[in-house]
Amino acid sequence: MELFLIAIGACLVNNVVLSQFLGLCPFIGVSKKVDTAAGMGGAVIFVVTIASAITNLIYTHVLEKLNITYLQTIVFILVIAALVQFVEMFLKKMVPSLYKALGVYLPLITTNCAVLGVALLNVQKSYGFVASVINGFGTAVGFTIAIVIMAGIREKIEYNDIPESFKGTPIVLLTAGLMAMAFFGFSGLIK
Amino acid sequence: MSRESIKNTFSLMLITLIAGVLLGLVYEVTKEPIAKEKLRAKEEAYKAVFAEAASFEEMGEVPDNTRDELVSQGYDADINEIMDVKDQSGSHIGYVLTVTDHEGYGGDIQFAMGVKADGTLNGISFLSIGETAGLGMKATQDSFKNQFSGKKVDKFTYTKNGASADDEIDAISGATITTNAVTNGVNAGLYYINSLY
Amino acid sequence: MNEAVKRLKCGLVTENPTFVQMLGMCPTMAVTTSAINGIGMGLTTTVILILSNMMISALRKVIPDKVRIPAYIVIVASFVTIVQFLLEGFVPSLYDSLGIYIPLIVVNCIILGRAESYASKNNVILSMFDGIGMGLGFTVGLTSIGIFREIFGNGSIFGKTIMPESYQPVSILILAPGAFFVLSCLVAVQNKVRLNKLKKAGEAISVCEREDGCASCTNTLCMGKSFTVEGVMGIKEKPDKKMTVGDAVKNKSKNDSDKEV
Repeated sequence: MELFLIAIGACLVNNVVLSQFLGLCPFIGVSKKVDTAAGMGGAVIFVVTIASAITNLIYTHVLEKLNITYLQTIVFILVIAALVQFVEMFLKKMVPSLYKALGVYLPLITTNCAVLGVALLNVQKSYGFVASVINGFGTAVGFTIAIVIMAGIREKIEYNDIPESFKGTPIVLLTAGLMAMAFFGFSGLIK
Repeated sequence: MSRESIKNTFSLMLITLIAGVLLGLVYEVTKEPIAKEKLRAKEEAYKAVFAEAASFEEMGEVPDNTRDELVSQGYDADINEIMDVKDQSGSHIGYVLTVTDHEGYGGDIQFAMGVKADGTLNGISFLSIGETAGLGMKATQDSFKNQFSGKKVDKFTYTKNGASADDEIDAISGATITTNAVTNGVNAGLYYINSLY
Repeated sequence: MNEAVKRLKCGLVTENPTFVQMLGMCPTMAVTTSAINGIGMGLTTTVILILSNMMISALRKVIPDKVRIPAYIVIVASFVTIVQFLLEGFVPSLYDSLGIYIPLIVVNCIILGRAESYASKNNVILSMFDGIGMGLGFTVGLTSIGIFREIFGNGSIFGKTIMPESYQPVSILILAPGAFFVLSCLVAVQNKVRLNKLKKAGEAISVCEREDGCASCTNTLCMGKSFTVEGVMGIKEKPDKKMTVGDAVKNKSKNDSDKEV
């Protein structure tokens, strides 16, 4: 039950983009079309979930054992960067179909602050292994929900008459603000 | 692997190693002053919640099952420390607790609370709070904080319609989550103190 | 010395990271709920930017080209960690309110961007001034957004109430949606200014032609195919269309120079 609450909390209540502002760059950059947005979302789910698992293992079995938890930032970012590369190589060789679907988006994720953010939040909230993975997964699903909805709205916005200076990024940000307000509605879900 | 890539790998490893060692050094050097500073901040908070105290003595470890017990009471909080407070003559005048509540909007909220020997809450002072500026952060203002001071109750509740009784706290408008977290933390502390006897 | 002054002016005005380049948007939106947080975040970033710029510039001839990005990240992450210790110990209130956004400075585009486009090509002193200029520019940006949000969202400035009692604060401005609204208006103003400039120059280029504002170039700058272990692992990949940081920067500087025309 608690794990379920973590997942819901991570995905809807504290939506990573709309309330924590992590992963804003891809949210604005890759949300022009629904299918690319969904592809990006898929890649993020994949990487964030694995990264949560691995960073958690490294934190508990290496950093804590050696008493060097203060190195977490530097270790996490390197691990995430290497991980993305290996995931890319692995998929290319082993699961070409999945690679075809996610491949283009993978390199974009490395320094997506959401990945590092989730890893750090897992440590901050002292989640165990399972809770970390669930939290990572939930967060990434939240990202996907947000970016896909945004892409859907943007496809429609294309046909609207928008003041010239609001075209492009400003209208996207405005829409995101309205979405963030709508997501406030979820805050009642967990006490 | 070509020679070049070996060289690249080596130099990156070297840079990382040097960075790691230097960080370790900086950590060792700054550890003590930082710990001292933290201790000072903590003592300041203790003084703030118990002005008439002359000394604070640690009363030993808080039992491990405290957390579970508090959760079973509906408080998602931890008691970090409990101090025995003595006045100048050395007689016991109350306790100071450090409580961490995990229900804050921006993460954990940690505060010290002083409780007199007769169970009257003397005051609270925040040690670590990261709520939204302008909303939840109003918890640190005296107008909210002082509502807890000088009251002898078993449990506080918060209300949005103006506090009328001793055990009622005016909620911070727009920051019910923070109000709830702080109130619950205080209640958890009171519960723990009462359970000691 | 002239060059140093130019770097300062560049960071503060002509290439202001917040208002002109729109870099580092995540921390900009997340911490500007109050002016004091804005200043705190800005100065923290400034310190890290100056240190990392100087270090990277000093090591620019030692770091092999192929692994430079991971090397930069290691350097930046080290400085971030050091600054984090110090904040935790000596400015705990700021440490609490910035929270997770302190370690996330590592992936702030401004820092890697300056490392790649300036510090790796110039000497230590100039890189330091570049860091000061850019950092202060970022600080000014964050602080002014913070002041705006705090005044209208909370009726106060630096924690002191300045609006009359009767003023009903627009709390939404200090909540998450407010961040999006404020930034949206900011970009719109920026677009307006550029449009006017273009009109004066007699060119009718619509905003849309710009690939999604700077958010996406930020994206490629930091995220593109920049951070690879290929260099490390010695894997030769066939050249593909993805942009490397070098290309992104080249394109960016091209855009910048276009803009100035």
